[in-house]
Amino acid sequence: MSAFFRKEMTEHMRRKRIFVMGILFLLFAVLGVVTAKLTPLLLEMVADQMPGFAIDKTESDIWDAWGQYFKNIDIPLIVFLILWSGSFTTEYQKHTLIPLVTKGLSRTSIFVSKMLSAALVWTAGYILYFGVFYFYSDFYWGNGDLKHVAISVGMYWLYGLWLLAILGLFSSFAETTMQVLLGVGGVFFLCSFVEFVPKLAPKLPTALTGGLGLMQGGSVPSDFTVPFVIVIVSIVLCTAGGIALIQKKQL
Amino acid sequence: MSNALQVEGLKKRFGTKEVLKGVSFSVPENSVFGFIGQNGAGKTTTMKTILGLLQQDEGVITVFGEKVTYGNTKTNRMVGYLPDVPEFYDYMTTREYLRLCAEIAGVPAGERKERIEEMLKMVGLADEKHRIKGFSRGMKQRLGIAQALLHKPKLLICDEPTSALDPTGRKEILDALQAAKVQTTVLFSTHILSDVERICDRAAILHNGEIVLTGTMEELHARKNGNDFLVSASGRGEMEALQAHFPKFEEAEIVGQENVLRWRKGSREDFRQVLSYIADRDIAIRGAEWAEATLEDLFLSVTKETPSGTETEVSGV
Repeated sequence: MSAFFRKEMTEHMRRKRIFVMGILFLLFAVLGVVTAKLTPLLLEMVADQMPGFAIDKTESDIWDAWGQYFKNIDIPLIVFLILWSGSFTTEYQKHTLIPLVTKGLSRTSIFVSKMLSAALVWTAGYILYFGVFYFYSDFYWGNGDLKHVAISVGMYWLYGLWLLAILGLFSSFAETTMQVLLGVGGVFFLCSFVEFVPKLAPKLPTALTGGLGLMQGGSVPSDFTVPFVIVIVSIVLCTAGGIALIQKKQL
Repeated sequence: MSNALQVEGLKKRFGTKEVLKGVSFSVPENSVFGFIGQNGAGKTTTMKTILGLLQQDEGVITVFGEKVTYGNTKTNRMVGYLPDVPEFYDYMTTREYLRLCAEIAGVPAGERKERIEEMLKMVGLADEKHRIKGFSRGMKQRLGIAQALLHKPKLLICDEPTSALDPTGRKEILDALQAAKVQTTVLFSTHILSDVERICDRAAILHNGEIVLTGTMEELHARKNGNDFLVSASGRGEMEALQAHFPKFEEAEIVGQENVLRWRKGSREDFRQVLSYIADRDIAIRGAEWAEATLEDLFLSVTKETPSGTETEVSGV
């Protein structure tokens, strides 16, 4: 498996996926801080020029900044999923796995290596994003008031892994990249739809994106037990399902 | 001699199309086996099933006595495979790709470098330092042979390895396959019959999803019962006189030539009789030609004449 895992990492490097993700995570971390810092100033400038337009807040605070943190991370996550959506299907279409499978490479190794390498990139990118953001937010506002930092930001990381696991499940049997994207998009929109039911919203995996409330002290970690368990169970099921399905996939 | 590969009653259907209709053949150890068939005859389907890449509807395949299963078949550790259109990771160099293959195939770490260089030299890519991205089809085919032989497989399966190559490239690949015979059994599919005649010990002809002929090359050559011969009469009258006496003669349509008669699958005795008749009657002819039958003639005759569901077994291979 280690040989195929190294092949995957080489592919991510040479296809510039790691470079693109690194730039994106860095850019959006900096952009989040800059947006939080500049938005009140911009509003103030608009208010000065428009009589009757009043704003009650002239300075941003730490919560504006971390609000941006949880908003901005969506874009690198979406780009990450798009970039990785063809990881399996391109190999099916080009038949590049055939020489390796006929040499004894197990399909389980293929699935696990692909998923682990993708998870590694997501994790490393997310750590970079968090690290840069944390440094600047501490520099400008001070992070002293934040509560449950590790759990709050860790929940979004887990949410990313959950979407990746769904991507892996669809990749194990889909023929095209579009089918994979439609599958992941379908699950996401299904969750967004169910979110309209107030009773169910806090139990959905999407609840794990609500780390800001936890940081502010509006909620406690135990509020997220149900979505946490659902996500862990579905990651395990998606992985097991993906491994089972790829065994019979026509390469 | 034991069998490296045994295929029995293989059936495969894609939707409503029955691609394989009970294919059976066996490949003895250390032989070069030609798997002949037109495009769409079912060669690639048969090979992919042997590799566990496709699931058969019926039938049993064994590689060195071990049953092939769909998916992760353990028999693949004994097999090297060259696909018809080999595709590789184009961001890698040849050495990087072969190192990946060597690791997966379990070539001992100490032997890898040496094996890789040996294979690259054999296929003429030893000086190639660039990434695979810019490779021609012929270069990819040669790299395909290198990866297939890298782990010294006991059975090498090649799907039309020479069809995309120029004459030099073809010769190199055929020589490599023949050389490989010493340590491995080779099964290769092709529709280039001269390649089969050049290097194979045995062959099978697949037509419309069925094996219509199989045997050793000697047996196949012996099967070519009779050859065509042509007599070119000097005029219409002479031609009709011959045709009247020998009803087996038919007028041959040859561009640029008139009054030519063809006798299909005639024996040497038939030919001798025709010649003595011509000599006795003093019939004017421009020439008479005995055309040695080729494998191509045999192929054309069995694929044209063998009705569906009939297998011509030359011997028990």
